[in-house]
Amino acid sequence: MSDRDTILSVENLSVHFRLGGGVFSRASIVRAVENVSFALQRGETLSIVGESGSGKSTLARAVLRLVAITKGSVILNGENLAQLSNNEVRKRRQNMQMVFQDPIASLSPRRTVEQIIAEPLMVHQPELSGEERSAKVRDTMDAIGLLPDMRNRYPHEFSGGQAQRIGIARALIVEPTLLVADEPVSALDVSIQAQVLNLLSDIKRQRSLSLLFISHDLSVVQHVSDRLLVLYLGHVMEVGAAKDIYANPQHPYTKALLSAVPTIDFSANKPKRTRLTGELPSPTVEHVGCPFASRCPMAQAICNEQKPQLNTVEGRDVACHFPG
Amino acid sequence: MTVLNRERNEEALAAAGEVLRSRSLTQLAIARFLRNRVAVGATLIVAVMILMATFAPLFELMTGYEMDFQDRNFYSGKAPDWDAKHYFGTDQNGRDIFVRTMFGMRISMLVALVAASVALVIGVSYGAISGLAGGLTDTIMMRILDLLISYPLTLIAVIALAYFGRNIFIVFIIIGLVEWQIMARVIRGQVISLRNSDFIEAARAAGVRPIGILVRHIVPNVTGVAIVYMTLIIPEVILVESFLGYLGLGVQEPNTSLGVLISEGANAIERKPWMTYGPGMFLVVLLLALNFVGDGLRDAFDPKDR
Repeated sequence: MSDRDTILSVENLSVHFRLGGGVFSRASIVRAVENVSFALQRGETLSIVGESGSGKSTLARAVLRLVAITKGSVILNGENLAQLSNNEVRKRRQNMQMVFQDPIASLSPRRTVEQIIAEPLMVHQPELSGEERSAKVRDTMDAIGLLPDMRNRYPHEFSGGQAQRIGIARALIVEPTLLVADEPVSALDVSIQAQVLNLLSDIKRQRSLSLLFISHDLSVVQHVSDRLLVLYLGHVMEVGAAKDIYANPQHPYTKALLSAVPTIDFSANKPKRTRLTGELPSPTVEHVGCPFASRCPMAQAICNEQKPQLNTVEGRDVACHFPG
Repeated sequence: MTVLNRERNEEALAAAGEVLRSRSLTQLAIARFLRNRVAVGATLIVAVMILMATFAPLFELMTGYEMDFQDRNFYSGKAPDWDAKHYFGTDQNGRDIFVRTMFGMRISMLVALVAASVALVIGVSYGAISGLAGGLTDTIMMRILDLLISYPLTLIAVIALAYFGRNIFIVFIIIGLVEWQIMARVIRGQVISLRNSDFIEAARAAGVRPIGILVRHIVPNVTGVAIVYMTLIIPEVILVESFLGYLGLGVQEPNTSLGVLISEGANAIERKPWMTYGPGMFLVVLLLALNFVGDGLRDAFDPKDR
């Protein structure tokens, strides 16, 4: 693909939070995202996976500048969001929309479905008349599979799957180029998950939308992703084509993650699970070496001394001293 | 065999949609409130009392407010006498206590309305600013509030009244000024939990301006709680006014309030005990009823009890 089709390009992005720090105590710094780079093409789905606390959601929010960016740049359609003022970022939000994890909590409880879906329109296309706005809401609802007579109902009257469709309709009504979906199906029943995932991939195809898909569920990710980015403690472990990584993971952390996916396989040669011991280390520590070294089954002395850089191994980028 | 097609499904749903009218959270809260019999009964009692206070002059026509100069026991007051239409008796000036109670309720209710509104406005703005600002501003505002809460506020009210004089509206405003703190605390908590909620972040992600977030998303979700706490502040305000009246710092003669009437009765309780009965009964019933209304509203607006 040519460079012109790059919708989003993230370069050396870091997000740090100050924790505590009053008059009598020193603040500690949580390094939620550390030096992450990736690019997203038009019509492509990039999935970000990792366990709880790996910085997936923070990365997603930093891309949309919903949290402050500490270092690095986020270039959307050729503009660096990190350097724009809050008000200018607000105007760019038409191009970047988000779908949230908890579908019902992400809808304002005292507003009707129509008011909720129309809200981004009121901000970004204030010139529309009330009728034009209603027509657009109806069109979008129809495309998402919501019945028009749901317009005047309230969020508490809907099931999780329907509420998530409302959330998707709200995100799509301004026709963004980038859609960030933060665990859009993890709060839904499995049967509903499939419906919502199919809906997302249909829409993505029809509108050549770029999708940044955050999940901790690798079996969900497998269905939707073109490319995969594995995050651990805010560091990129492995990034590349989803097919390649699923077929042949190179980073020991990716291997452990993939082996943890439940499978229905009763044969004798079922691959053995790689069990990780210990907990995720505190994100307040700055790592000299590899952040995964404390739990890695293959760790050597060098892993604690030198941070591995991303190197191309078997067609994808891996940050490990001993890939394979 | 029936084939279900999309068109027929939609027809059926449209037909059902007309029957099943959608209900907003406020409508659900009203329905829940109406199921609470104690709260509905208390609301009726409060409504009747408001009507009685509003039409107090009518009772004056009915029973005669003027002093009975022909009576030899004019200055001793009379015990309740239904035949003479002095339902609660008369006071040492020969005035009918029932009528006085109706006029006293007017002042007590006016206090409730004005002072509770003052408390509502100050409490909601202070709490919302503190909760939205967060950080150092929030900390400083809350420490100031702690400081104010730790002072005996009735004492402040007494000092302020001694300083500003005993104008009736000054009484109202001062009571409002000392009753807003709990409202501010409650609203701040609500705003903080709302500020971190997903739908506020969704609004930010949609590009809504901060002022739009405040007006369209935070205020509508705080009003329910504010109304509930206002109904709980009202009895407290009436009580404070009654206390100030009892100390002789409230409204001045010939105006009266429930607290002033009880205070007068207490001074003559050995010889004319009936003087406290009527006003006391009305005060107790009014406070109890208002508390039940407040409790009912709080339960009705509680989102956990859907």
